[in-house]
Amino acid sequence: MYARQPKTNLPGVAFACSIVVGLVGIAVALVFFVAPTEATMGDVQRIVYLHVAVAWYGLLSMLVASATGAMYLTTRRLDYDHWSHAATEVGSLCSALTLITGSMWAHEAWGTWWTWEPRLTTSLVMWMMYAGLLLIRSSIDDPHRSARVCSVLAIICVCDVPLVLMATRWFRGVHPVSPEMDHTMRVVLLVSIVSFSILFTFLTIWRTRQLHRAERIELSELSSSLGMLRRSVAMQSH
Amino acid sequence: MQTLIAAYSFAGVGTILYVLRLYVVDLQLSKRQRELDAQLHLSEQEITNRNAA
Repeated sequence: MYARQPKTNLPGVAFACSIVVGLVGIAVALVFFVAPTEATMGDVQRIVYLHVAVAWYGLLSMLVASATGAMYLTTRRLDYDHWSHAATEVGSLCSALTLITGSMWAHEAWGTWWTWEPRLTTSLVMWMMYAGLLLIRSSIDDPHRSARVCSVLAIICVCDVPLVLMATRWFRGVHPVSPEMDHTMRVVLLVSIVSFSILFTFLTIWRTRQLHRAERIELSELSSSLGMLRRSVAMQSH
Repeated sequence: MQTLIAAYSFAGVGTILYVLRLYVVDLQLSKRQRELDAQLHLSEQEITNRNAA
């Protein structure tokens, strides 16, 4: 029957949150005050440290969503679908930020906000896939049915990851392949990628735990209502 | 410089909005949990009263 559920660990979340915010703060400080100013583009080049970090996590999230989706299809355990759901949400945020920061950089570098260049187009397709996955999730009530459909779709959507990664090499475009950077720039870029990855991993874990908890509460509510119904039937029959 | 600050602000605001959403969901879940616990407490009392009667 119904068992009391563990309470949320909000102080623990707040503690983890402060550590993550500190790490991201250090990364942003390095970007603004330590990384040297690039000779051609000037200060705007500093967008790259954020752009690369969010773009990388956007791709990683799609891999996680499809891998956990595949694990759900094999085991039928909703825990895996919660991971897939959380990765899709965080991935859509990263993908949207990639497009926004990339667009701002493009405006300064190429004089246009958008061009139908292979890397940009495949990145837009990736964001649309995330949006589609989230829309489908919200439109199906049955958790197992929604998990089944989204797992299959995530496995199909992951095909866009190599396209985004290799678009600059396979097709002719204007997006930089791997721009030359000095040692300090590379270190700052690495710190930025690691810090933002920790931030987004933290958000993914937080969301996954929430989805687990919501499912347990829903089951308990259901079992509690069933118990009440049984008791009222028993009382009526007496 | 303005473009740079705008890019980082967009990222900051986007992430903060998502964190706020997670926080609100956490609060809602805690409320549901409390209601469920209260309901359980009531039914336990009901059973005790019935057994006593």
